[in-house]
Amino acid sequence: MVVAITVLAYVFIPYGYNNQFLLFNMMMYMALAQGLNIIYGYTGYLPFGYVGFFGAGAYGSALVIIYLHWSPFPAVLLGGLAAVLVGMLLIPLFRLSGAYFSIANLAAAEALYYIIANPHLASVTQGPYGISLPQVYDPNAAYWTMLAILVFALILSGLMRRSRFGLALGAIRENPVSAEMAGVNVVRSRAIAWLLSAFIAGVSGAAFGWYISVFYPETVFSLSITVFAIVFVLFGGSGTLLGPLVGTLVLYGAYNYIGISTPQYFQLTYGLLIILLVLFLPSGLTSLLRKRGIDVP
Amino acid sequence: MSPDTEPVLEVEDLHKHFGGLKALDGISFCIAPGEILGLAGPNGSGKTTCINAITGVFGLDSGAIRFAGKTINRLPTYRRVRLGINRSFQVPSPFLGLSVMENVTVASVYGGNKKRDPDHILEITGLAQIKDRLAGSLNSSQQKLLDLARALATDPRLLLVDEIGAGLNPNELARMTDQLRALAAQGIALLVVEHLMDFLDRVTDRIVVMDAGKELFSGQLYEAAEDPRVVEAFLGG
Ligand SMILES: Nc1ncnc2c1ncn2[C@@H]1O[C@H](COP(=O)(O)OP(=O)(O)OP(=O)(O)O)[C@@H](O)[C@H]1O
Ligand SMILES: [Mg+2]
Repeated sequence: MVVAITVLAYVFIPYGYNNQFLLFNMMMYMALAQGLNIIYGYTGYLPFGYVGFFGAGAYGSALVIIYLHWSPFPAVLLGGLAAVLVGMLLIPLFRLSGAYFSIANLAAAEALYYIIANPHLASVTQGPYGISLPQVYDPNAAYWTMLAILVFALILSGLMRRSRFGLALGAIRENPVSAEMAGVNVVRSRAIAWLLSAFIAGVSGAAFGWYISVFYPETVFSLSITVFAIVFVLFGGSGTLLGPLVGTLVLYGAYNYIGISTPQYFQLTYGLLIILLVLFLPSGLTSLLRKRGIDVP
Repeated sequence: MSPDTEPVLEVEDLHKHFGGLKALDGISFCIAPGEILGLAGPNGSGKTTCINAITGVFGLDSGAIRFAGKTINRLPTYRRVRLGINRSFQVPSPFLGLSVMENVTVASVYGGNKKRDPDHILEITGLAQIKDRLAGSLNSSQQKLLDLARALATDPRLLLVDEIGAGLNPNELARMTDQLRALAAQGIALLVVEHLMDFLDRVTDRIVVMDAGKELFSGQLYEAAEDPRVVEAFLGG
């Protein structure tokens, strides 16, 4: 149901509303929020460096388009795999607990950014001069690809909620030692969730790079991408399918509305909103419904 | 109890230190299927550490743990669980944000070879009426029962219970006694860590008393009470 409504919305809204870039970004943040939800909402680890996967995906796919002349679709998938590869390298971070994990992950994303932006590697990555992909420029195709990615993310996240695997992840989030004692392979389950989450960010980054087709390291490694995704998940309510969608819709909508009409108040409004949320609604909007006994998908 | 059967668990000369502290310092014992072995000792003598070592919560410095004849020292916890080892925690540790039913379901899905019906487990542990409540909303004796239920859902052949009697009222204690005895009667080997001598007396007859990671005494409970070293360890500790 949720998936169907989302798809219909993104298929038909473009006919009545012509800001395709905004819609693209909205889909992208919904997918990212859903990807983040898989790792945060279901295991409790909050990766501050989530954007690292996004950037790895954008660059991974751009480089195979430029050097190997891949067509965009396989390149987007490869972007996802590049992110999975980065994710595998970071698996040892799970030995760290809570806040240390988040910060180490942030450091890793920054390190990746500096490697890619390094002028000495410009012959490979174009370094700080950025990437340009005129040969595959096709915003419409990229738009539909992003929609497919969003649907994939939603289905994955929905399956997780209902499946045995989702239950195991929930147990890990609550208490890893007890989860092992219930027979759950904690290390492997966490790694799977982590890599799925990385994959979603990677393909999203790749599709984003394709859509805008000219970008710089700081565009796709921008911390604000992580911050947005985290805030959207927290606002909507983590651990649910609907929460990250609603969070993105409301806050990203508000961001564009306030940001465009009265940019001078935007930061203030948004900042206040976040503080109020954390203080008064830490489990997100959907928790209001759940408290009334309504089961939120 | 059948003393002539092969032991299901043999621990031999376990050593484990935390910094300069020798938490386990050469402890050894065996448990046969269907047997209930008591493990007593003053605070900090290494009882919980023993359970942690057997379940693989952390590694050992040296020593051997054999389960059903197989050395399991290096297996990760979840593999030991699937072989048939489980435990309850001294501080009950259910999944607080999951329902009682979900707590048991995870264990029955992931934990054993033989799938145990979660409803049946909840029935025998007396949690069936509250199966839809969040574990976090249970009181501490209910959480202890849930810990036990989660362990049973993995269909264990060896069950290690850590001070499960502490904090239970006399009625609950009597029920727990019956429950543990019934489990042993099904052939499950039990290690019962307990401070309450009275409780130990009702569930077991053979005990090991530990002090500073070592065995101080091993034998019948009534003899332990007369052993001067045991008396001194408890009074001195
Ligand atoms: N993870 C750990 N890190 C450091 N020291 C530890 C750890 N676990 C146990 N210890 C120490 O090892 C010693 C043995 O602890 P253990 O918990 O096994 O005792 P116990 O016999 O279960 O005591 P109690 O009756 O109080 O539960 C104690 O001195 C304890 O402080
Ligand atoms: Mg203890």
